[in-house]
Amino acid sequence: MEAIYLVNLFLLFALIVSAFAVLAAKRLLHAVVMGGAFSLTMACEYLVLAAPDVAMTEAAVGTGIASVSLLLALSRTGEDDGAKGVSYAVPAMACAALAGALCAAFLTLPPVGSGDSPAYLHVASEYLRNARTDVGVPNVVTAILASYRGMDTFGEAAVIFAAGTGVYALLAAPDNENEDGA
Amino acid sequence: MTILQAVTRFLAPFILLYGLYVLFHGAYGPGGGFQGGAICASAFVAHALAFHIEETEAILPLRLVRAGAAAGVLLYGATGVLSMIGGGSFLAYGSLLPDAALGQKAGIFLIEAGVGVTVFSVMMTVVYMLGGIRK
Repeated sequence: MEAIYLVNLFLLFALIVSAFAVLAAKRLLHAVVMGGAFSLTMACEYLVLAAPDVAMTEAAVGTGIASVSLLLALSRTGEDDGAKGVSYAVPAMACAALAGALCAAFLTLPPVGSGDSPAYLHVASEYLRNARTDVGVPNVVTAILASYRGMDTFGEAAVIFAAGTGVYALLAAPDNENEDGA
Repeated sequence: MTILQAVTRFLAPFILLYGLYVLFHGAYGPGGGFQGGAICASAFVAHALAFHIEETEAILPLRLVRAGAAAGVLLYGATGVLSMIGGGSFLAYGSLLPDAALGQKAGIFLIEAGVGVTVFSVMMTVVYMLGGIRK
């Protein structure tokens, strides 16, 4: 057996264990920490799937900043999640149905790295062939994101700015300060 | 000083350096503006966790990151406008400099920097606001 299969097996096992640990956590604090562990395992899995850009983002945002944001939110709201006596039957069934649908869809996916997959049949081959002469940077991902699709990335930056401004407007509102007594 | 604080003080400059490397080396290796900005922000988030968040805010004021979030998007847009002034279309970096290949590189450098500054600033804004900083 190739070593990469063992690594994958370990990572997928760790993913499932940490996902269930989030569900089973008695305290919200524990759920946040296990969520961080899930995200870090996911980052390793992205690296195994040869997506280092996504792995970096997942490690820095998913594990680091999202966990810290949740911890900070917990410190402001307290430990009670207000979920006493709530039935989980309907959400559990919805999750099971979604998981079943995703598994069914997974079976129809082309193999990883297959040249015949639809993702490679559209404009991708054009980009791969011409990026070096058109843009002249060795990293094709950057050439596509920054140059071919510069307008889309501009939109992304604007969305991130809007999200940050929204959080600021929401939490800096004068009413909030009165509630805190600050 | 606790062990956590001592380790954070030692590691934070290296995390920042790595973030800047990822940001500006994006044209050659994996990474780019988003990743670099997020990694740089995580250095300051680590500082906020180990020390008090007010101490982090004293080093990197909320006012500065609020301005930074807008400045990054502006830098991106300005690069597009500059390439129009150079005679091309919006965000066609080839017209930024007389040498089109060099113009592409300069354009990518500028917009990656813009994305990085915006991502870094927005993440710090969110962490500051959730951490109860009011200014």
